[in-house]
Amino acid sequence: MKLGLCYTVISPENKMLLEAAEKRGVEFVRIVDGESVLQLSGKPKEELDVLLQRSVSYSRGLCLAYYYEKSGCQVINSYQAAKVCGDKMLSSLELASAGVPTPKTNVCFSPEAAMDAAEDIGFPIVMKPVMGSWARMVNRLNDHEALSMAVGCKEEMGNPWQKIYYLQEHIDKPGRDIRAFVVGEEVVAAIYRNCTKESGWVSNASRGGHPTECAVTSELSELCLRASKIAGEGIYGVDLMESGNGLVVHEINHTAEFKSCASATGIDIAGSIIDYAVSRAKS
Amino acid sequence: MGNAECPECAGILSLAPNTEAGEIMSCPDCGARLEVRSVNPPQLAAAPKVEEDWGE
Repeated sequence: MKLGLCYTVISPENKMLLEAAEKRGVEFVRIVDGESVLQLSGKPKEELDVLLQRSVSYSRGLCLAYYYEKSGCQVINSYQAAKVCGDKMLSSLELASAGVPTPKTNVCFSPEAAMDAAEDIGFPIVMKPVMGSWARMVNRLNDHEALSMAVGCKEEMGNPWQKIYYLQEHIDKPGRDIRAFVVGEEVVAAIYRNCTKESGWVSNASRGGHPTECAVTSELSELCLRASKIAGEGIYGVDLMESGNGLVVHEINHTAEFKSCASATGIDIAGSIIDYAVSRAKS
Repeated sequence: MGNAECPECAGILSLAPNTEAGEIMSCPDCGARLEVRSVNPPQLAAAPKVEEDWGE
């Protein structure tokens, strides 16, 4: 059994995975995406049973997942999972189609249509890039004027992906959201990500959100597993908010960070991931 | 593991024994984000820039 770990840099999570694999005596190959040469008419240099695809770069991750899948290797998470989770429009569409409670979201492609899309939802709204993470360029916009200014800034950007306007209903969350960690068919841990002075209204750990343990109730577990099905079985960080009408899922992360979740809950998430990857290799 | 020099401020960083090549760390003196290029000999370089498509 040979396991690969593909990464851009050694993040704390990747280091935990390497240590967990070593502890279990799992044969392990490191694949640094920036150093990789994909010979399209040949096979990958290393024959792997399972590849844990954890590139922090979405574009590289997609290329590598597709390439290794084509070679017959099981990739966790799959190309299809990465495609759906890494594009907020696709994931919101899939969540809504699957009947998973999710904030109302409209997508459009011009400043004029963005005004109509926002009117349809009602202010305040949240505008996010369809691709991107860590709450970068995520804005809460209270009125037409704020939206007009934010749209004006995006129109000046060179990247055409930034001109896809993803507008979402603002959920009046209780100063926190929930990150649940799904490994295979199980929710292994969950945390509240509490807003702080540093993080402001967003609660991402990378922005200074403070993690505290959240009980994995049957309601939370059932909803997370249902939501993650839109991407197929794998390893996901599911983000939820507590709305007046119950839990809503707003995001599914396919290369989820888990350092905060592991430290707040004491759960060995890296160990669970390696055990799961080994079980997939045997299946 | 040994010491390595910060390429930004020439400060000296002490690398933990389990340090891996590719690991990201911050210089305690100047705060620069650094990548461990090699562990033997210990060598640091400026960390790769966070790109627009980076995330989780």
